[in-house]
Amino acid sequence: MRSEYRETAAEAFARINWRANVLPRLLKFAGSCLKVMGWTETKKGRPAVMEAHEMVNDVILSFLEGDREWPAKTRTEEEIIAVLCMTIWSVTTHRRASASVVAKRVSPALIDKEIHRPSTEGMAHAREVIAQVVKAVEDDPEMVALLRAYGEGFTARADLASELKWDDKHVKLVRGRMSDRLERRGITKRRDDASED
Amino acid sequence: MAHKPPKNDLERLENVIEGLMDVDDAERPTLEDVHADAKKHGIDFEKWGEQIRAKANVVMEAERRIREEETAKQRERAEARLRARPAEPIRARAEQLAIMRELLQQARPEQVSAHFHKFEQATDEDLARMVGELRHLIEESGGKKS
Repeated sequence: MRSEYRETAAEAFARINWRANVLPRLLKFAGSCLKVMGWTETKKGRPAVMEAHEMVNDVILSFLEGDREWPAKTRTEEEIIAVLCMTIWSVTTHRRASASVVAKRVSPALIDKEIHRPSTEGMAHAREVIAQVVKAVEDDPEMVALLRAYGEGFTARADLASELKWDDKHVKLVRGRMSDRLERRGITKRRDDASED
Repeated sequence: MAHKPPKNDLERLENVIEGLMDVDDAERPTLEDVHADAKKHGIDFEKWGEQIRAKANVVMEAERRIREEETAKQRERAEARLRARPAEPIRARAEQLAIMRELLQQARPEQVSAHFHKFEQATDEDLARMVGELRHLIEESGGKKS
């Protein structure tokens, strides 16, 4: 029986429509990861675009040069982006030794709302990362609710307040508590500490 | 910032990471901000995409050459094994034809359709050679078809 053809990273990258919002989206994702991990080059809140650019380029090149194995069954543009994003996430988290403190066990707390799409390596990894973050706060229902709201796309404080039926002050309070917790667990790092690295 | 319901787990993670950025709402960049920042720093998405595609094409070309070289090597090795086989004896024509028919039953159609279909018109010498080649093909492909 003939084996299924396995597309290479080069073939995937040659056919993807980079012109659409793929690169800006990767850049935004890399910037956010760098920010969350405290790896920004400026003290301003916005992630440093040049460092994010370098990160995205390095990840793409690492696949093209064969330093990383391109996962099989990566077909659609969204799956390709997922693989690249999850590699960016891995690279940023591995830049911080303390990130290894993150627990490995997968918690279903945030991901019980199933989205029915084929599970590819990139998407499965995304799901696992969310579960790892949830694991760090699972004993605090308010933090879990906040993370769930983040996941559902509520990130502005006013939207969160409305979604969670908390007042603005309480959103700020839980956010602060969660930031402290995630930082203590080595999952994130605050902006103020970024310059120390 | 508008609510962005996720369509898949990646988008959900993108939202979580965005939420985890310990910044004020105004500092949380949108895609439009990313475009503006990139432009300010001289990053041209179109050019960048073309550069990636060009590199991908170079790698694809190298991969194609490697595959072709590997295929050629495999073919050479298979031909060498065929040459090393002891020649088939030239049997009586009826016996050779019967062996050919039996071997054709064992082979996969794609292996034999072009090369062996006019075997009944072949000379006795060619028929003996065809028997050898067909035996070799069947052995190389792991024996009889299932």
